[in-house]
Amino acid sequence: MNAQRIVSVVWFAFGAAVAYESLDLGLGEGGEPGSGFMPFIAGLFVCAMAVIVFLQTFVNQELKLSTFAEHWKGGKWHRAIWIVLLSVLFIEAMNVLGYFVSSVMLLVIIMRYLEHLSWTKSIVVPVVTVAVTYLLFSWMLDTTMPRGILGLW
Amino acid sequence: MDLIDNIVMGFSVAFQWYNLLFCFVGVLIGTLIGVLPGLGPVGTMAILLPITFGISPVTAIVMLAGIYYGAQYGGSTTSILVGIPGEASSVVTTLDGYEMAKQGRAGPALGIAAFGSFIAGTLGIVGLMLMSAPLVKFALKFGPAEYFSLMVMGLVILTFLAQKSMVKALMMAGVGLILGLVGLDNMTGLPRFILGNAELLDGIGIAPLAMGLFGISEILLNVEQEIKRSVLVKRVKNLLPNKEDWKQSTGPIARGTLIGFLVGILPGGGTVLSSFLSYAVEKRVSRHPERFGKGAIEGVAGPEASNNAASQAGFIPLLSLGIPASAVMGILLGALMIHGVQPGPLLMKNEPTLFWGVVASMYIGNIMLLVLNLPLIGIWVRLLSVPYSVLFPIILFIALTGAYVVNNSTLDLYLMLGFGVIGYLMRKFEYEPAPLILAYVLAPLLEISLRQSLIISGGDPSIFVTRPISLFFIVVSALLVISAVVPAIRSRRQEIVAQAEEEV
Repeated sequence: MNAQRIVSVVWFAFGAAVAYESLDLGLGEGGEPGSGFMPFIAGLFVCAMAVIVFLQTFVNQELKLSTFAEHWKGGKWHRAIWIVLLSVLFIEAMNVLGYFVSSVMLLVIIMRYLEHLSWTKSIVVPVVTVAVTYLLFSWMLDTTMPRGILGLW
Repeated sequence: MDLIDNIVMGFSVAFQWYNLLFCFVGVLIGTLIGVLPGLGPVGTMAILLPITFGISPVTAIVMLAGIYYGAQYGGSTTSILVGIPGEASSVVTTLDGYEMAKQGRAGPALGIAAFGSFIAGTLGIVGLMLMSAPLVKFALKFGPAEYFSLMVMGLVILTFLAQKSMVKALMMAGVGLILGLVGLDNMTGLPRFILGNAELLDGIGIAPLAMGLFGISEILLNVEQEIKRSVLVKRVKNLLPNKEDWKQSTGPIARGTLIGFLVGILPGGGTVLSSFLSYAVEKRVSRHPERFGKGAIEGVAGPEASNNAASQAGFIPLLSLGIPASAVMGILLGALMIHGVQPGPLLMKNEPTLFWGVVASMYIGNIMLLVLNLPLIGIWVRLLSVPYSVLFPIILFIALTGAYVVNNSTLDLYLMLGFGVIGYLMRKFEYEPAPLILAYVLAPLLEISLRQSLIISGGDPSIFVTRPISLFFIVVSALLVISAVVPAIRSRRQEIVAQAEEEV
């Protein structure tokens, strides 16, 4: 299946959904545009552009040959997925374990298991980074980070 | 004499110790991220935006602006010493800069890049000071219809200059408009597209959006690749260009400054295009074009001057009209609004300390940058040997912390991550994020001026074409769109892009 074509269909669906929702918000009267007026136009515009890209995938040589496999060729894409998953884990862990523990864990896991750095580097760099960042943000912003069940910062 | 009074006032603001400090922090961070490939000024400014909430708007803009023009200096160091661009705007510098380094002339290459940047940056600021006031006078004649058409033109120019497909870029502008309208409608009080989430009533924050699209997506793309850097020169000597170098560089620096300034004012033009243009011009006017790509100092001096002049000129539309010309300026506009400063032609009059303080700080910042990038070049060379495997986890972590502290909200973290994934996919399929972020920032302004115009005209859309200034903007936009569609011109546009790519 042509990858660019599928992506254009996704954008079309997005634009159409926005335009449809905008009808509910109300387009307003001529002299007084309603809440839905601007997003309705923007939604239709996205749809129109998506249709053009869709049609281009039949004519344009480069777009014609686009496949998912080609876009991810040679890249270590599983590493990108790991980063996203670990970040989600970090967000969820933060409220339970607290900011400090979950941040250090995130960095140690990435550095040691994804990047295969030495244990020393994988522990020293995260601890220093987290401490400095925490001090900077809490000093400048007077903010408190989640302490978690351990009560550490 | 007004101008001199204002300049004096500006410097008195810029010389306050905390403004000096934050100016230094800004240009330092700018150089840092400029040197490091894989993190651009947009992402960095977005990540650091939350830090500025606690300080005054002048100080905040001084620092954020410093990051931007500082990155133009830093980017050249990596281009010259490693042969890969530290920033998109120093892509062309790799051609002759890296060649010079290979021939053992890294010193003069770095030297002329820094001096050229300094000269162009300073002249750019002078232009900024001289041009802003007349532009403001002109802009004060604008009603909502003119503003609407001007913003439309800005978006169209930005998409016209898109490196790949203009249709895709236009589509991204549409998506940005939609994202910018999420939240409560200020005029009717209706919530829009909040998907049942009360936290979205305030809209999608600029910090998670920009950090996701520019910061996180960049990391995701980079970790897929094996990034290997080898620094060519461990110790840089003879930074001062000799007489012959100067003789060859004066013309390119002057032309580069002019090109950069003119391109920089254009919406969407910016630093990348200006450096390409300057390189092309230098190659054409040179009596020995065959030297280009083999270590010609003109190929470093011109583009490096050009991207700095462009970065300063980019402030003109933002500070005098309240309209950002690029994604970076969009972030600055966001920062102004977060601090309760109303951008627009009245900014110069209502917030003179902000305008003149920021402008004056740029002079000081440029001097700091000259020091940071010449005598202290050794630090940056050493920094280049820090591997990406250590750097990116730290960048990721700072982004996660930054996105969280704005509202202490987990939702913001998920938004950032979500936009990171979307941005990653967008780049894979060649959809550019810059029009999206710019349209997102402009969306509320665009909507208000559209509504006001239609209320004034009683719902008659012809208001946009019956008022002369507005008509002019609309005609320019229409011509650009048409020219992109007409096959003959389209192929010429692609030719130019292809040629630029080939020359690089």
